[in-house]
Amino acid sequence: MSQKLNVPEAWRRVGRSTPLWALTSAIAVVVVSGQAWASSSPFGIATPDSTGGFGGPLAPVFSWIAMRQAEFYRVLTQSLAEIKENGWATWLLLAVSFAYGVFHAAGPGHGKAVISAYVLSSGERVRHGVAVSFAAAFVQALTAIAVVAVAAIIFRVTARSMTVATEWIEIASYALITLVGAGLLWAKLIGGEHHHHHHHHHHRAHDHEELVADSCTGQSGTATSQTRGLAGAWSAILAVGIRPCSGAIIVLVFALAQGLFVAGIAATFLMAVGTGLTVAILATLAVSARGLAVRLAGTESRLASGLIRTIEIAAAAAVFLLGVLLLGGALSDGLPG
Amino acid sequence: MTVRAKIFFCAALMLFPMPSAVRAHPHVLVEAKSEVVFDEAGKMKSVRHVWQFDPAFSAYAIQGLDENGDGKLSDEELQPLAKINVESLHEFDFFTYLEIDGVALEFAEPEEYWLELIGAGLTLFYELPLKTPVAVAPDTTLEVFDPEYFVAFTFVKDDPITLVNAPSNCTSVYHPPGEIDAQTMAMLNALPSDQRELPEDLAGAANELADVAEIKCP
Repeated sequence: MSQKLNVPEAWRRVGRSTPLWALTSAIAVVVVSGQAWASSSPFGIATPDSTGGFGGPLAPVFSWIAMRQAEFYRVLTQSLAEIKENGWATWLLLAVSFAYGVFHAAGPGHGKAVISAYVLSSGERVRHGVAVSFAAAFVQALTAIAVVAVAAIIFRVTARSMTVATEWIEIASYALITLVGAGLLWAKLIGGEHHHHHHHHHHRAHDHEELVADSCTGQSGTATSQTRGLAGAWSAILAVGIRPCSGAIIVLVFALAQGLFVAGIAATFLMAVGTGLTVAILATLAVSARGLAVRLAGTESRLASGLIRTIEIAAAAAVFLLGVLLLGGALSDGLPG
Repeated sequence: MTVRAKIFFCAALMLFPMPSAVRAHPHVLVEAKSEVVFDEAGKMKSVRHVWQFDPAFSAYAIQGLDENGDGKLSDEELQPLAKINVESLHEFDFFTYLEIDGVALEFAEPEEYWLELIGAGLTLFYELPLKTPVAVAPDTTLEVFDPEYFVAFTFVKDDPITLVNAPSNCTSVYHPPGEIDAQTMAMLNALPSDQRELPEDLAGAANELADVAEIKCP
């Protein structure tokens, strides 16, 4: 009984230390950075990805990315239409699909933010972060293929019905992101993931070694049980991945209309490889940034371990709040239908 | 938490990839042609659009609409979609910004609208009436663009934006959208990373995705 930590005690401890401070800061940051996140479709069909506007200092860069994407998209759909006449158009299609995927993920969007924050918070190693990024991209490709196969081939629905279906999937995705964030927060604040706290006073040397290792591998050193890590990773992958990209759906329906569904599927997977690559790079950067922050904090192990804990809690809070904002935005216009 | 720790915490938070939610994914390419229509008194009364969607979005849009299965799309089969299109466009200001001295004029809901399949391109025709007719002032411009770039507009080469029933002294001069050139990109890259505000000339470059027509009645 005495070993079990009851909730009020946990909260008292939370109130005494860094986490609450970190949590409020994270809330402030996310709330300030994103306001209305509702995303509706200008033509009533095909829902755009998370919404906002070209604001902030990176606006011209995003505009540039958007224009490159439009070019790739144009070539992508043209090459798909030409496959019947030209064998080489297949190769062009695959190459352009990959490039489109890279640029698609390089633009702003919630998927990479959620994945990066998840990887940061869960203390994943770099290679796990890369795996999570690619897995999410592939799940997203599979969802798009499944939606088109079921809705267009089996039920022959209209674009409007397909849009409503994807909007429901989107709500499920945002709800899952919120749950994943809540789960991470729970684990970080209450669930007993505070390995570092037990060591710093007596094992300074040990902690120091561990932190040096951290900055090389990007691993936080937090004792995460492997099974829980795997389940957590899959829930994050599914949360992000079940929301299909409307670009992939349009390309698939277009391919289907031309009698080239297989080519559309190939293009969708190549897009996923490109998207996965970009997200993996960003997730790696996030993990490396954490390593750098720890190195900057110096060899004072108490500070460094507190820093890791703070970053992980802030990232968990970010996943949770991203989910809340996206879910709130998706529900703000009422339920799809 | 020590002051030093707080500084490092803030530094760490800066490193965290800031989630920014922007819809920078062009999935609809539109080839457009527009007309500004004048009334008897020589005032602008509406904007007529002809927007042709790219073949992929067209294929997506028309799936499942051929209800009687005759392989053709009748006006009756297309009209519900046209209605959804114009009703949904309301929230996006119809991507149409008719401005005098930078102030946008208000539009009423379109009453006349229809879709036609021209080749592989589904084409939306609609007339967007001004709430009240307005005379052309020295600084009158018409812009058609999606600031969030989900829809990428390209205007046709010949007579992209024209005037209908306008007084004989009126003209429309069309300016295609400017691309962000290599020099602008280099300047952006050279900005110190702690600078939050863009210099004015660079901010301008970011907004030059729009197709603009200057309307003049000297």
